Amino acid sequence: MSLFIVRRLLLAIPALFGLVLLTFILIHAVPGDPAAVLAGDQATPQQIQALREHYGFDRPILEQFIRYVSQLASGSLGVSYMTQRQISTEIIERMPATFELTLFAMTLATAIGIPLGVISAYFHNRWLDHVLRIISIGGLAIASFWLAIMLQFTFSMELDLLPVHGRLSQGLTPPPFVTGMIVIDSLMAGRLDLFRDAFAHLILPGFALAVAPLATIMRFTRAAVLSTLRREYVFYERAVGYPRLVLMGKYVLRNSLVTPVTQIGLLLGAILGSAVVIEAIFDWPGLGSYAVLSIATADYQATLAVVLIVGCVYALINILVDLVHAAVDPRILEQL
Amino acid sequence: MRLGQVILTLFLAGTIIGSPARAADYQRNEILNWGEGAADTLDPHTTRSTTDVTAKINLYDTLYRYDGLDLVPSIATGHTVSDDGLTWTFNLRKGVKFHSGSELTAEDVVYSFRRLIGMKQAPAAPFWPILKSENISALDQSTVRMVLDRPYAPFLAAIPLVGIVDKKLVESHVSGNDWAATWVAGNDAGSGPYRAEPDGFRPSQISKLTWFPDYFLPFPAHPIKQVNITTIKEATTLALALLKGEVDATDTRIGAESIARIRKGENVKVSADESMRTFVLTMNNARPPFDNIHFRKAISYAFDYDGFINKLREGTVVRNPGPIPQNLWGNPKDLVPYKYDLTKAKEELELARKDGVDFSRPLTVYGFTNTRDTYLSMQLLQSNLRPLGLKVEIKDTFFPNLASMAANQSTAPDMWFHWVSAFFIDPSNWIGEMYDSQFHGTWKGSAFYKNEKVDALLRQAIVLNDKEKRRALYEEASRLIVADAPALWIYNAIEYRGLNKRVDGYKFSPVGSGADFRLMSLSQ
Repeated sequence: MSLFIVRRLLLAIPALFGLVLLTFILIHAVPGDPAAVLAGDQATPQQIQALREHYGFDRPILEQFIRYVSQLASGSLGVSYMTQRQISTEIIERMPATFELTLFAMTLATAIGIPLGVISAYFHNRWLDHVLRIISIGGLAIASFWLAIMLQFTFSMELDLLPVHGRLSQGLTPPPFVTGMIVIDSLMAGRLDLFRDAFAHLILPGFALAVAPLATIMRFTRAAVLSTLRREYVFYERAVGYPRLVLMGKYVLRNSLVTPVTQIGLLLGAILGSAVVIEAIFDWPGLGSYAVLSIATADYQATLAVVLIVGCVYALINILVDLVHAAVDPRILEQL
Repeated sequence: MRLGQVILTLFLAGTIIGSPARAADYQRNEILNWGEGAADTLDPHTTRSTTDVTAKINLYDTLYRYDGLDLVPSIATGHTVSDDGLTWTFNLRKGVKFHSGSELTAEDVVYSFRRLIGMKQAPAAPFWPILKSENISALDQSTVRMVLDRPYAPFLAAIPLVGIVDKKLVESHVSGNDWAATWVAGNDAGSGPYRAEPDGFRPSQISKLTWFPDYFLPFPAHPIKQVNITTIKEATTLALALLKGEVDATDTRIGAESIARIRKGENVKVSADESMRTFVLTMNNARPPFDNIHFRKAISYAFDYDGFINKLREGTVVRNPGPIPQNLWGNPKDLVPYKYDLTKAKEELELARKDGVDFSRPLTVYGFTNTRDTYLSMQLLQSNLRPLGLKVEIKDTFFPNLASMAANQSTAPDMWFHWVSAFFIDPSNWIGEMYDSQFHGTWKGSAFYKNEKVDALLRQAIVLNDKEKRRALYEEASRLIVADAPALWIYNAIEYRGLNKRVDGYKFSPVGSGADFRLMSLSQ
């Protein structure tokens, strides 16, 4: 199995190289000149040219690419043109925020989606299934940014129950940095007040982000459980009178989990995408808002760094999904 | 779980969520929560955005500063300028202290201007072409002399762009020839009324400032001792945060809907100040069919200005007749703006046709991604030009892309909507950099307009120091330019800012948009 992991990790390298190459080409295919931004509104053409030369934007693309890759190889993501800070520092500051949000949303989606999917399958084509189907289709159809704004209006404005934006209330200092996820760090520091505040901030964006994957997980679980229910062994177990809960929980659900688990893996990647919008609405200082910022300011190296990091996460999740498959289904383990 | 346990859990969850947050060290009426957004950089010599300007005017001092529209001495006590307009001598105030404790001297001013010019970034733009590093010198502890390469009338107006940094402190962080760019971007080397907390700054996220009680100008009786600057990108979220009291002020770009919502709220008010941010549709005068004056005039008559301003923008902006903001000197008071008049537009188009202009190809218009105003105006333009038989394709992209496209005659859009903001308050900021042909190759010069008479007038105006003579030149140039119709000048912005009623002393300025925390106090 460790051989499998090593092989998969090595295979990820050319994929990531391809990703960087493609992103690099795409960025340079559209017009966009960081020198023009740095030089500002008042600049003369000469000043813009001087900045271009200073940063090497005037060099051939191939040369810029080679320079970028060798910089990556030496372990540096580069310096942001706009903030003059190390991009790695900025990403380390922001990545935990995105992880906190996406993990919370996925936990929510899984913890609710799978049981609802099972219930839906068990009562299939009865009224409960219809109700859940309407809810799940609604969840898929709803625009997450609209839902996010409606949640803000309802729970922050009208009911005044939850905060509107950000990760912590004004004036609170985050707990000492351990994982960077405030909810966890505050517990480790024994600061229940911070935990409460951070958790309250997490609920609305987490829920807004969770709705679409929740619906997907529910639909996939339902389909998988339904097809398992039609298997002969289930028919047999039913016939001999296995208790319903044991039948569903132990024999049916476990045999149906491969599809939802694959989905959860893929959704974790997709959710990083929708997090861009949700982060913007709730001012969640994560990678998504950083990506938007870097694109809007033509901060190439920062954009490339975000793409690279998300690519790495995606690759890791894919490996992890395979491992979870193996844990769920021993037959797959033998093939690894 | 039994029902009792469920209720208990819900109750606990309720107390967790419902309990209030803790207060910080200062009193509530000493802490201002400013929602305009944290700066990208604290470096006063790379300032680009309004949020950067907010950081600069509070952390740093300048020789002169803007008080509303007026230039007033700040750490300079005054200046003299030679008759040829080349040699500028500034006398400095004595006893001004940096946050580090050392005294601000002429050496720091010289170093700051040299650093600015050496780094060549945005605020260097007005100085770079006319001032060489070696021509900046300290005559003594409190006198600085700068000798320009050629006369440049807006020189003094541009002086507030340059924050004065603590030379000794900055030099201690220099490595190689980097001007300590990384260090200054995240740290405070200033002498302004506020200082940046070392760990309180995360670019475009948060910024925490505390007051500098030793500042040389007075604070109000109850000064603001701490400012938390937060970034709220979505206008709706920002308006909600203001209404909930989480922030005391919004930015000035939150849009008519949010303003209307704020107006209905309790404990909040809206300030409205006419700014100097003009909204323009620039046409590429070098590319057919826009190289024909009748064709450009046809477009100028075909846009429904009133509909845009009064219906789509609900009267939250004012019509601007020409290249210069209508509230600035140099804009002729009798200048007649183009009006929406389809008959005239058709007549002009007919004249263009007689000139042999071929306007069968679709025209493209660009706006900024995610910017409502440019979408509205692009759609309006599209529907306004349809009766003339002109097809318009709508496109959008981010500012950096548009800026570099617009800088090149062959890639510049046929037409694009954009704003021109006040970097400094002088007509040359608008008319000079947009319609003097020596600025072809910058996004501001993207009309690629060339009129030798206008060039002569603008180049004469830029070297004269007599304001009245300059006014006459700019007024004449404005009339000529409007007659040539190289662009559509649509509106001058009014800046609306939602404020909590507890904020006193807020004073707007077109430069820095009024985020001068030293002048403010909180009533509760």
